[in-house]
Amino acid sequence: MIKVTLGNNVDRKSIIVDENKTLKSVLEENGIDYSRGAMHLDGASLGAGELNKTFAELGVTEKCYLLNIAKMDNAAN
Amino acid sequence: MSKIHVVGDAIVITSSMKLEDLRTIERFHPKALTLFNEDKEPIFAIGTTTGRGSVCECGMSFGSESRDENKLATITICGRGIVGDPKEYIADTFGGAIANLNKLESKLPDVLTKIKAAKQAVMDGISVQ
Repeated sequence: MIKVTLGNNVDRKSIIVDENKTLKSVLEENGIDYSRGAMHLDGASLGAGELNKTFAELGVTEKCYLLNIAKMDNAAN
Repeated sequence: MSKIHVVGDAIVITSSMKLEDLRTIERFHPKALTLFNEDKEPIFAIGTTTGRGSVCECGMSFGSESRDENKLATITICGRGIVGDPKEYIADTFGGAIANLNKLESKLPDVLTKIKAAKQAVMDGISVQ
């Protein structure tokens, strides 16, 4: 089992999951929209297809941050 | 309560629950497999997986079952090299996880009973013609 902190720019929560689960299944079970913004695992952006890999395949053994970072527009006038 | 057996360098943790029952609870009431602290943060969880399973500070994944008729969920840890007295080593390395496992297991039979009752109620309303 591993501890995953997941969320987005404004909201985060911690869950404990089996490391053999795919990133996509964990995101879907927790209602995280991964279709917008960029997904980051421990600060590194994830490429196409990597959401279908398991945490174990991506080298996560104890804990990680899995965050959806949406690009915000600048507040320029 | 869970049981631990040591044979050579192999450590086998056997749950008091069947693997099939853990999978049922995981499917219908997964929150029952997690311990939360006062701030409602998860601190420990158990679940099922494939393979031998694993243990860490934050949880246990059961991947196989005992070979007798009980089919209890098991985790097999190999090759870690037990240092010194086996009982002391296991208590130091896995004691916290085992204590949390026992806390969860004490509540799971009631959870399973409720799931089975709910499922039976659904099945009783089905007619097959």
